[in-house]
Amino acid sequence: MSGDSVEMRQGELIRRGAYPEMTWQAIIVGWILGALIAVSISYAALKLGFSIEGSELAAILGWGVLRGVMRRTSILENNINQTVASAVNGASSGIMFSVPALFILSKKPELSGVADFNVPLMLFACIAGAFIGLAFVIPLRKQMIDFQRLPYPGGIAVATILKSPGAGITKAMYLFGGAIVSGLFFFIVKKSYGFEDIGVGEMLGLPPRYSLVFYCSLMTIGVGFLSGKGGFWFGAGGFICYWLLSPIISTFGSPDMQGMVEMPGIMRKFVYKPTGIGMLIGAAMGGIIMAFPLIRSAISSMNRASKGDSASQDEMPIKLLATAVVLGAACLVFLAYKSAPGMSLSTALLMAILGTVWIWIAGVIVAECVGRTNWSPLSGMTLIAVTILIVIAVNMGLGKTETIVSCMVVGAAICLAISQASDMMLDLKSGYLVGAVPRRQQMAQFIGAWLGPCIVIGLMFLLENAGRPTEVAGQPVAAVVANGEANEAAGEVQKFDIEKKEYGIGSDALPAAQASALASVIEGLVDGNVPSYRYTAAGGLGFLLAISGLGGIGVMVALGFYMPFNIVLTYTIGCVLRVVCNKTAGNRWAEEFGIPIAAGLIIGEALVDVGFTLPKVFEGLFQTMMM
Amino acid sequence: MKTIGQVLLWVGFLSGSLATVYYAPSEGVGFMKAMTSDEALGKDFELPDLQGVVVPEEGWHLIPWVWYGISVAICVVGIVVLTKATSPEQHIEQGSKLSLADLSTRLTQLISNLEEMIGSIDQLAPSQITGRIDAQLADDFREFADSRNLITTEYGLDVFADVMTQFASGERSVNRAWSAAADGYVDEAEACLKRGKDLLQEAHRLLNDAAKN
Repeated sequence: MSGDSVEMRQGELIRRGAYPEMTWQAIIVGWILGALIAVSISYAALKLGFSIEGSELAAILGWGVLRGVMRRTSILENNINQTVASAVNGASSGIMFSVPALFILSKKPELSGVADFNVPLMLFACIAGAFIGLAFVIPLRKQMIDFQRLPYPGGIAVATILKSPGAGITKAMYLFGGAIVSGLFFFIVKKSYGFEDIGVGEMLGLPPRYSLVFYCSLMTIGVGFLSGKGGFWFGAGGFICYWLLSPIISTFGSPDMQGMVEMPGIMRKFVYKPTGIGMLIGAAMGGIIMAFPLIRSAISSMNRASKGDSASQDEMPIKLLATAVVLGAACLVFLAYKSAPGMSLSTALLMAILGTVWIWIAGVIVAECVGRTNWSPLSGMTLIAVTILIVIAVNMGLGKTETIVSCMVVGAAICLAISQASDMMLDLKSGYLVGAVPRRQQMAQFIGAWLGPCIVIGLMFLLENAGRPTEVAGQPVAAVVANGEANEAAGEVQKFDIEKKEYGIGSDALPAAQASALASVIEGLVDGNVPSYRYTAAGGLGFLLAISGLGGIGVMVALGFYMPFNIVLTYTIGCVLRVVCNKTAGNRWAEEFGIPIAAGLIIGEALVDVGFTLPKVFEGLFQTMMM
Repeated sequence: MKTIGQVLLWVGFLSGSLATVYYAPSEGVGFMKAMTSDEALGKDFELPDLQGVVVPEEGWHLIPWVWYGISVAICVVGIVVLTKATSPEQHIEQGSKLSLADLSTRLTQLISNLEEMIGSIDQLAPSQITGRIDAQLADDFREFADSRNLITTEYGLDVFADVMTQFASGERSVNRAWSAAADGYVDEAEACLKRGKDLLQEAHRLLNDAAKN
């Protein structure tokens, strides 16, 4: 028991003494669970190409370990545990979407040197990036959670799990009922029968341009339900693309475009997605300008912390955070300068300054997107970061290999920063709902954020070396390639062919889809290709929507352009259900029972998905150990 | 006027969006033509499918800038008309069911319910504390929060920020009381309810001061 003394009142146990929150038990369990989740999800990101939010899993596992095994008795202690664990896991998406691109590029002979980067420097970059991202986003807590009251569907789901021990048996049954239904649906429909989508448009005989395809995911419906009517603008973005613009182009566009709109996948990749990225950036800039008075007010409120304002004492001191940002930016200068030979101080300075500015902008974009819809445009924001850095490096005269390595070192720091920023805000929302002290949660996030990069980068090297012939195990990629070429020149049979992707990251066993895409984009960027015209045009429109005074619709509509329409459609079902529930059964019912069910739908699918990933992780690690 | 502003905003935005996506990048067309019909009908593509396909920077000619510029101008006119016709906050709050007086009443009700709960907390079992928080406080918290932007409309952002800082901290403190009670820590629950009450009283005072000024 955690309480100092225990007694009974009206047949119920009451505890006297301090209420446990930030304890060593919570931190250590958070580290351990976070490490396990980070390994699993990082492997999934390399193998399957996508990442899974770890907060719900951490909350449930923490519930079992802290309450079930360790007999701890505090909801808030478990909240700290999930905050630490998800901070550790934040590295899995942040690193796995960026750094493996170096290994993939290194498989080309002319770029073989890019994988032989300075590992401690990369590790330092990732940790520094994580800390800068946190220091930037923490002052926005008041504005996004207290003032704007963004829904953060994932945060609501985590809070529902955390509160389940005290919420009563009925709510717990709704939560676990939702989880079981969602988990079974995922297992049967997606894993057993392989159904990803339901092509309703095809059944109805609609042309492909309308893309009336629903994503088979109860989790997505749950997320839409938690977003409520505020999520409709997200749907509107998708409908504008596929139900308005595509039909107009189909009628009046050029023959090429008329052909392209009938292929929604191509249309999205080449037209709507880049438009969405540009619009997101414009909307975020406009949103920052519009929200500036509120941000200023929130920061003033944090400044009062040291002057004894009761409501502001729970915040981390703003001066400490400002110091962290300045130190972090200085670290970025050092990292950029040391990342590649031939780097000048002026180039490093420029990369670091623009990188730091982008961390703030992208952190705001991602935190707002996650807050409104639960989806994070992390890969898009990383792409922009790398684009900015490569444009600088190329124009400053750096060589191809040096450009790629230096941009990826700074880019990885930025990716980690953005990832940690969105995770922090999501956790702070959960914390708000269970009554956690923000300052303690922010400390917990810092305590967890450094560990993830160590684990994930270690795992990445382990997997990159998995399956290598013993004579080249552990050697730099450049040496492996040189060895292969020497063998070939000597007429010997090449025992290992790194270009044929027989092993390591980028091989058929570990395709690393997101990092592969980034690698291809990096190659294009280094050669001077970037769709900046579409970013610019779309950015202007996103900016106008953001300053129109219609709330945060700019980011929402932009995200609707960016995301696949099948997900948007299924998400919209959830929004409609919430509105119908509110109107027919009342707000109270929707909050009391609808939210636990929706949270259950999210949890069930996430858990079954992770459950399928774990055996693959252990199998992969076992094979590596046997080499 | 508001309707005209809305129409201009959306006509400008949609027209600008169409201008932005109207012409195809040649690489995308080439990629499309290289595909089989089955592949092309796929709902989406895995990212590796697009490796090596990039759109050149010279694609600036793909945006019809005159058309785009006119659309943006219409959009800007719409925003100006909207702004003159009504403040953004009023627009957002069109669906609000509460008035400023109702907001003050909600705070009074919350403070009164908290005082009553604190007065009888020694006789309440933990589950009764959580039950009463859910039954007596949740609706007032939600309704106040849903109509919070009325404060900005009437008194400006600074008052809004000050009131919401106290209100949000008060609500968080009550949420903490719920968690503590659910875990059986009644002393913590009582302390948090008291703190929540103090913070909501401060929010109420700030709102009343703004009304007097």
